[in-house]
Amino acid sequence: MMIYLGKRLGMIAAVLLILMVFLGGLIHLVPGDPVKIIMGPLASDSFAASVRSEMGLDKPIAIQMLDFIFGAVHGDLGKDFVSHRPVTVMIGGVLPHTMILAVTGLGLAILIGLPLGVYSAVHANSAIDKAIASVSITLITLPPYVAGLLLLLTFAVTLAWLPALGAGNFSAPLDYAARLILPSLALALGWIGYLARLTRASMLEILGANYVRTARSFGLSDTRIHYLYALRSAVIPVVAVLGVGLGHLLGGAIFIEVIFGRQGLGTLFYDAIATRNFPVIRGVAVVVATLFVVTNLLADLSYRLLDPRIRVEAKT
Amino acid sequence: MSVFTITGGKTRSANAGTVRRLLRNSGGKFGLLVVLVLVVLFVFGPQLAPFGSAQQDIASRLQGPSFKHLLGTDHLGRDLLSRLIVGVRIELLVAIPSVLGALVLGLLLGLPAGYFGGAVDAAIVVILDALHALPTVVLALTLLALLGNSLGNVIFVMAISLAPSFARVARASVFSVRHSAYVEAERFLGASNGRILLLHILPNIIPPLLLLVAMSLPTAIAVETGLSFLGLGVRPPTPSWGVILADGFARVRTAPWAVLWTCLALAITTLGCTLLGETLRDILDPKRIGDQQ
Amino acid sequence: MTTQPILSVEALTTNYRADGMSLRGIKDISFDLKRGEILGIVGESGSGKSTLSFAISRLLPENAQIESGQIEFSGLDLTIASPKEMRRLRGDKIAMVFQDPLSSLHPCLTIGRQMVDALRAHNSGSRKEYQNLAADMLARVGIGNTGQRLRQYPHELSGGMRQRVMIAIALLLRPDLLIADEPTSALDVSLQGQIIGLLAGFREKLGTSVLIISHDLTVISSAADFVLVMYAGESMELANAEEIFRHPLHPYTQSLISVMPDRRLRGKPLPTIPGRVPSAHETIVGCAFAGRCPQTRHVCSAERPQFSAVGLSRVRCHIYDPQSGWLFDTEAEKPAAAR
Repeated sequence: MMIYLGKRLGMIAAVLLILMVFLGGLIHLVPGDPVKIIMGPLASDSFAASVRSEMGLDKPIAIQMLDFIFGAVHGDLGKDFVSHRPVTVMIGGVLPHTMILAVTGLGLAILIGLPLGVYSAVHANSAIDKAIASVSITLITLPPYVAGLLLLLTFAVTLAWLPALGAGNFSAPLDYAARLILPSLALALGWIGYLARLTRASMLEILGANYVRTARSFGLSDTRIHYLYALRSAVIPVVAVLGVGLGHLLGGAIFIEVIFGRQGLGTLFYDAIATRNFPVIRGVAVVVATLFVVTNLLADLSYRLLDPRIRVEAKT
Repeated sequence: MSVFTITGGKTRSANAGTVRRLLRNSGGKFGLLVVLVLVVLFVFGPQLAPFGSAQQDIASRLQGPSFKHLLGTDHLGRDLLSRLIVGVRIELLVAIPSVLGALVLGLLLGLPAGYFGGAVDAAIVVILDALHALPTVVLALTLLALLGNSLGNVIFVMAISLAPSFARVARASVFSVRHSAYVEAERFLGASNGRILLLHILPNIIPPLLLLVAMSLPTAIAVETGLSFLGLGVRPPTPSWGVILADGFARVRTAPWAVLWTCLALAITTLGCTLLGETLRDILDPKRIGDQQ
Repeated sequence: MTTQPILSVEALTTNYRADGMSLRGIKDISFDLKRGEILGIVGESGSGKSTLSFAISRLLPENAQIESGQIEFSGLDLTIASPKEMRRLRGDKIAMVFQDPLSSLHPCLTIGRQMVDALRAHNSGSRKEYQNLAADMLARVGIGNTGQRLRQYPHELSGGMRQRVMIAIALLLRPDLLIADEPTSALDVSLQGQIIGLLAGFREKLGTSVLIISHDLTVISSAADFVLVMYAGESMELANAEEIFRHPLHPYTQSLISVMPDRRLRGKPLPTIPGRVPSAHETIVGCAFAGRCPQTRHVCSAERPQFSAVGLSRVRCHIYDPQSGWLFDTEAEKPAAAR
């Protein structure tokens, strides 16, 4: 297990290193003066000079990259060249909102998608199974911003049941929760379909397993058999996918946050792009990638914990 | 329908069978219909549209559906139906080159990784993992922010963002054929690596990659529209669906029609393309046919 | 043993769907099992033994169903019992031991968890109490160090240990009927004896009736009171165990006994019955065994023999048919094979 973990951590470090070299040097891949590219051709020379020195763009490229990586490892992702605030602080301020959004979305997807998949598998080829399959594929192909816009149109604009704009404040938890419903649902919809499909396929395989028949011979109720005995195994491949899921949700969160006017990593990124605030863009990219590889690792580890057979192989 | 004819030779009867099986499946039928409509709109869109896509009529702006404007008008009084129809051409003109670009990039990375293995493979896999760690949209937006959003840049950036999945499939496919008897025989006869890759390995890994091309098109359309929606893809006044969506979103409270129609058009397009791709995959991959029953 | 039978199977017939066709499962199976008796069911693979056991416990796979016949268990007809009634019986009154315990036990749950779940399916006691019951039962099937075993996963145990665990789970609720489907097929010969001995021992102590299913006559011979020989879904012979080994009536039973592995011949290839069991796709007109039977005659492939009584046994063979049988006339027709 320790060897496996070591290997995985080494791989993660390599992936993040390459990504940071890429992001650190990216600005020089574009032909022309980086400062002019960032600021636009109309920037005054004095302002351009100050940005140049602040971002270290006057140093050799290799040094710039090393500086960036060294800083990033120590939690310093540079400074916003408009407000001069540290990027880490800016990201830290909005990250909780995005994480809450993504985790709620993933939670909704699991809470709705898993039972749908179990029901579909248990009642395979029934009319309801077919209906769930049609809904699933529709949800899977629905781009997250389309889901967000349609939910916004229906529940916030037309019906006016739920607030449409802003994430709210932690000091008003009920209001915050109400404002979380539509955005997290919008993020979840695609994953509800995906998880339902995945769970169905996985369950169908497990329901034919000998140990499910054994559980039946114990006289256990169908509910217990499906949700405890069969799902216990069927969920293992699903967990592996969830690790990738959070990364995708973070990508979708950009749209959702912009559509619902929520503060978060996505709107920070969006605003930074609009103002070509490169240090912020780069910082967000690094944080998103780090979150992605870390959740991937966590999913992989829990995957191993869920299956005692792999656990033993990993020990030896 | 290049998917049907690409294999050439004695495939005519097989293709007829494929189409028949496609039509037997309701999802496939729907997918085929959607794709056919898209093809027609792609070719004849500007002729079929009732109004010019840029034709303004400020007097009748932000209207709901009427007999004159079936889907209503936008903030400049432009006919939404016409803009959506003309938009199909923009969507596909961006999506198709993006996916083909991703295919080429994916081959450039995946072929050597799968063929040479070892250190080359390890290095390429780390690069792919690094690219994969950024969600497609984040990667595309980061690159676009630097490059600026010309049409060419949008295509280039989307090709890069979509390339990792092509590289993965190419790599895995090469793995499965590189030790086959005929490749070993060629190697024994002294063929160069380039010759083996091009003449013997490439033709054998084409089918899964073509399927991926088909399956990536809806993704490309969705990503492109998303980028334009955020103002970083195709720029106004070009009637890309993302631009129409962004225009509509700015006025969603007073005139929700533009957002509604564009969302529906997108949902139907991505669903149709995906259903067609999935049905084709199920038909062409005999292993999966068993699964379906 | 003159009590009422606890299990009475009458003309049980099943079928299953595959490739859009309805195929033969078991056909017209009848037998009685009294309290404390052990009935062995033998036959080659494909003879329908397992189908019979799943039909009784109503655990047939989705594509299979009971077509006709009755299964009377403690006064209840299981063929028409509701799923709820069946659930109440399973585990509590009717317990099963499956072949291949590795795949029959849940790989991701501990032995203790599975035992406790089996208990909780029918009672509402505390987990702690059931842990103790489970440990006690493990000890009774000859597993030591029970506290640790309960915390282990199936793959961490040896094959013999796993089968003991399966038996322990089956016996936890002291069922009236234990159905053991190939309980020893995954084990080596020395363990086979132990497991069979264990099953027989519990019959003595708990008065449990047992149905042992096996392709291996040796397994059956050491434990069963009666033996039912099955072939291609049909019952061929039903007799007292001693009787069937001393005087096997049906040519198929005779063949089975002749190919029984002999310890003195260990190391030599096992003798087998020539030919193969007819597949479920083939329609059988006469006797199912006619194609492989050394004594077959014309009537055998033309007419289905009755399951008729011969002494205390019953046998499905034209040789013993009261009307057409040629048991005592050697003049009439020569065996077809001899011509």
